[in-house]
Amino acid sequence: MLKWFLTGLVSLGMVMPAWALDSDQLFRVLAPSVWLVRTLDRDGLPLGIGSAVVVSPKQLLSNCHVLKGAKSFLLVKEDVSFKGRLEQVDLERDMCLLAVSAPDFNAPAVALGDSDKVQVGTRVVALGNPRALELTFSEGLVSRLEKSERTGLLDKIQTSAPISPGSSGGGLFDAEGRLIGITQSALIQAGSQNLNFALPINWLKDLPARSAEQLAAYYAEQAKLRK
Amino acid sequence: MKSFRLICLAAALAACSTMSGSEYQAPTSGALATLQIRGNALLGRTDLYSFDDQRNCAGTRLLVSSTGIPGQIKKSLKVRADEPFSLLLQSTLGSQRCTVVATMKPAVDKSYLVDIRAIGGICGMVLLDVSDPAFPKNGQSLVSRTYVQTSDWRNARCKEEDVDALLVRPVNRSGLKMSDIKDLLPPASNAAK
Repeated sequence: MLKWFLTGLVSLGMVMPAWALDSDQLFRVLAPSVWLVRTLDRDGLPLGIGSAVVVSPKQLLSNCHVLKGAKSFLLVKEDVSFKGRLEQVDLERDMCLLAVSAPDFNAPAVALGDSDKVQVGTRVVALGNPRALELTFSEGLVSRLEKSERTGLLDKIQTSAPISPGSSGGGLFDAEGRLIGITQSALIQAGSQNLNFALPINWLKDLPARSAEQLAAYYAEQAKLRK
Repeated sequence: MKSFRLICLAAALAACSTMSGSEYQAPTSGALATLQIRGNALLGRTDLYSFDDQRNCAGTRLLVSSTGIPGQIKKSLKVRADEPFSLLLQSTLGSQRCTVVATMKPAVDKSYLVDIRAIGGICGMVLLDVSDPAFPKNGQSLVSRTYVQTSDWRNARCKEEDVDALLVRPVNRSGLKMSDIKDLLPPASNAAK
C-alpha cells in the first residue's frame, strides 16, 4: 500500500511541471505536513522533541534517534496533538516511519522528490522544529553530496539550510516543495558554519524491507535470550 | 557502545598542540584490553598519542605515526582496562592542523577498534567495540562515535558539549539499539508487514 502510494507520488512529481514557488508559498504548502514529535517518559512527562514529515496518509517520516528512550510520543502542531506509534524502523539509516491512528488526523502528505537527482547548488528549504520553535523555515543550498565509500550511492545530503537540535526528522525540500531529504545532523562545533546533513528521501523506498529485516533480527535475538 | 565513555577534553588543548612524546609502553599484566588501530592518512603527518595524565593532557606517548606517503595505519596494542584512556589524534598538512581528543574507558578483555582518518578534508576518529557480537555485520560495524573536525583543518577545537552534535553515523547513524526504543516497537506479529 505504502509502496504503491509512494510510487504514485513520485510519478506525480515527475509528470507535473516543476514550478519554483515563492518562499511564502512554499511555507504555506509545506507547513501542514511538518509536525513536532514530543517524546514522553514512563510517567508521561516530556522527554525530548524532534520533527516529522507526513509522507502518506497518517504516516510520517522522522529520525529514529528522536525516539530514544521514549515510552510513547505525540505528534503536535500548535494546540493539537495526536498519539503516535512507531510503524517501521531502520536504525542503521536513522529513518523511522511513524503512524497516527486517529481518524481526524488529516494532515496532507508532501510530494516526494528524487534524491538521486539532487545536484550541488540546488536551492532548498528546511522546515522543522529546532529547539521546539515550531515550524521554523530556513533556506540554503545543497552544498555537497556525500556518497558511501562502500556502495558509491548517495549517503548524505549536505546543506547550508540552517538546522538545530529539534530539527531532526524535519524536511529538506527543493524549490518546488518536493521532499528530498530528512534533516538529521549538523556539525556545530566552533569554527563550523552551516554544515548540516539530511538523509536521502529515496531511502524511504527501502524502509519497509529494511525495517522488517531489522525487527525480525531483534525479535529473534530476544526469543533466543528468553530460552 | 555501553562500554564507552567518550568525552572531548576542551581544556589544555593548546598545551597539546605541539606534541612530542616517547613511545607508548604497553602494560603486560593486570586487567587489560586491546586497541586495534587502523586508518588512512594522506600526505602530511598523522600521529596518535595517549596521555599518561589524561586530565591535564600531559605526558604524551606516541602510539602510531604516519608520515609522508598516503597509506594504511595498522597497529594492535594492549591498554589498561577499567581506567580512562585518552587518545589524541593530530594531523598536519602544510600549515593546516587538526586535533581530536577522546577519552574512553576500556573494559577488561574487550577489543576496540580505533579507526582514524586524516584524508579528504576529514580528520576524525571512530571508536568501535569490536567485541560486540553484532560486529561486524555484513562487513559493517556498530559505530559508537565519530568525531569529525573542521573541514579546513584549521582552528581545531574540541568542546565537550559538542560531542553529541558532532556525531556522524556512517553505518548505524541513529546511534541506537533496538532496546533504546523497545517500548515503541511494533509487535513481532506486525514487524514483517
